[in-house]
Amino acid sequence: MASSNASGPRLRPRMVARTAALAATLVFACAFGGFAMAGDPDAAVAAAPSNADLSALLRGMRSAPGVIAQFSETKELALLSAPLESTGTIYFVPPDRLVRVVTTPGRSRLVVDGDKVRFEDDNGRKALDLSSSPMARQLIDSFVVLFNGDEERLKQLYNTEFSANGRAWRLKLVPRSAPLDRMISSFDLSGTAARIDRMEAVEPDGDRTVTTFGETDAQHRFGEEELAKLFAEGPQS
Amino acid sequence: MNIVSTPRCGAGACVPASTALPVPATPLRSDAQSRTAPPRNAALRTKRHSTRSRGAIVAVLLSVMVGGAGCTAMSGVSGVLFASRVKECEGFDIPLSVFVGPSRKELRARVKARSVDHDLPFVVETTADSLVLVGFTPLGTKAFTLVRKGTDVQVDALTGPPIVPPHNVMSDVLAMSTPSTCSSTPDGLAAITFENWQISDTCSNGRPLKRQITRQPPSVEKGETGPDVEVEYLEDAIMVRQHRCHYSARYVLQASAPLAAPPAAPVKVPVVTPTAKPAAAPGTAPVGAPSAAPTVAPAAAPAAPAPAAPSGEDAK
Repeated sequence: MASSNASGPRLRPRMVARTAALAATLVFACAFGGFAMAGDPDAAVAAAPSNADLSALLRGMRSAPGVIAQFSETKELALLSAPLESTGTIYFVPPDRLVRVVTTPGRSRLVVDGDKVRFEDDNGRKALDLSSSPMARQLIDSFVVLFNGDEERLKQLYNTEFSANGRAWRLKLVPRSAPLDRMISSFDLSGTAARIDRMEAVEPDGDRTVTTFGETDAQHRFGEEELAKLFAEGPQS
Repeated sequence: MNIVSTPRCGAGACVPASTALPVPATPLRSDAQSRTAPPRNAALRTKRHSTRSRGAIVAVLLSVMVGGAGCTAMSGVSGVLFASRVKECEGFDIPLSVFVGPSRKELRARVKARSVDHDLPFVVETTADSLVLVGFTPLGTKAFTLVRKGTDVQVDALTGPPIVPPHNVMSDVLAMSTPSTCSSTPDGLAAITFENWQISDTCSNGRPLKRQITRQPPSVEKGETGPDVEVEYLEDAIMVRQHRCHYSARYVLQASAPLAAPPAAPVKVPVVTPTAKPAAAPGTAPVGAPSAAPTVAPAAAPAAPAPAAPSGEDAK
């Protein structure tokens, strides 16, 4: 499989690594997966819900020691007679490790471990080459800024609308330019205090993916044994 | 069959859409091919080679530009251009009316070919006159859609040229899920013929264990003989080997559900060829008996991943 890294600049691998890791976070979680963003509850709760301060919310998001979130995802595609449903759990270990486990339908794991991305399912284990999916790569790149809490860059990429009502908040992101706008019309995130409760991704053709988050531990501190088990490689195909 | 392929622009990479081509003779034979399909005459072959050459030159130029400029978007383009893909081929095809009732299956495929090893999650919905197939990237993004209405096929490539042509996936799905006559035949070989395809199932306890599909009359390319397609119904998956197209795929069922529409009436098998053992009366065996149908994809089938099967060659 071709890799664009060979033809890219020297510092790409590091960027790709960061991208891949954090990437998955939203890509898998949102329209393309599911992920609960959560941060320091005290900081975020104090700021974001009450005064509609996006900056405070972003600060809270990047301060989480670890996140475990159960999710339920519904993909509504115009071509299909009924939505596609999936459920699972997401594990996020800052700054760049992520595991997305789908338990229904079937069972699969998407593992982002630094610069390595792999997918495991009943067909075996396989490393993923993000360079072969430029669209996904672009999408991933765009979300890195969100996890970094880089408000300035976020607003360069998206038109943002943030509002809050008490502890509840809503953030709408609309891509400003191509190629992201060819893939996504908008992301609509809503939450309570420092956690995301729901995320809706709308594609240009009207298809949408709604991810809702159930039980969430936004302050999880992963132990060594837990991490080893979580990132252990499944059977080689 | 009319095939329309509509690839879209990727990250800076636009792929030309193919044109709809009419089918001259057999309606269900996919003589018309989308942009990656193997041409059937010298003129087309020459044109394809010319296009390939130009593509290669453009790719090289782009890669040089990428290396020089360090352009993220352009590196994406080179990735698209250089990615290995399974060749689109003219595979097995049958009328959708052979399937018993509307259904939906969610599957994961692992497709292997020379220089290709690709995971493909997808969902397929079928009714008596339509088939919808949506492929996803391993990350969950939509990769392509294929919509077949009768004999017309519309392919929409959403993230650039798919590594595994949607048409091949459809062919695999049809090959593995064409209803079997095993439920009405004793153990042994049950052979039926659909138009110009012969399907030979090795039956055990009313279920198919293996299936061989051969074009009639058998095509011989480069001295190759034997079936065009082989299907093996394993305990936890279904293996499809497309010998003429030089790839194999392992399919694992994730979920299945009947659709709301009422089931279509089973159709009669056009021709029944002699079987290895005495079987049901020739010419009368209906297809689509649920217990006999392979359990992946369009046929009315239970949710189990595959019929019980003895140990066999596993996926690679």
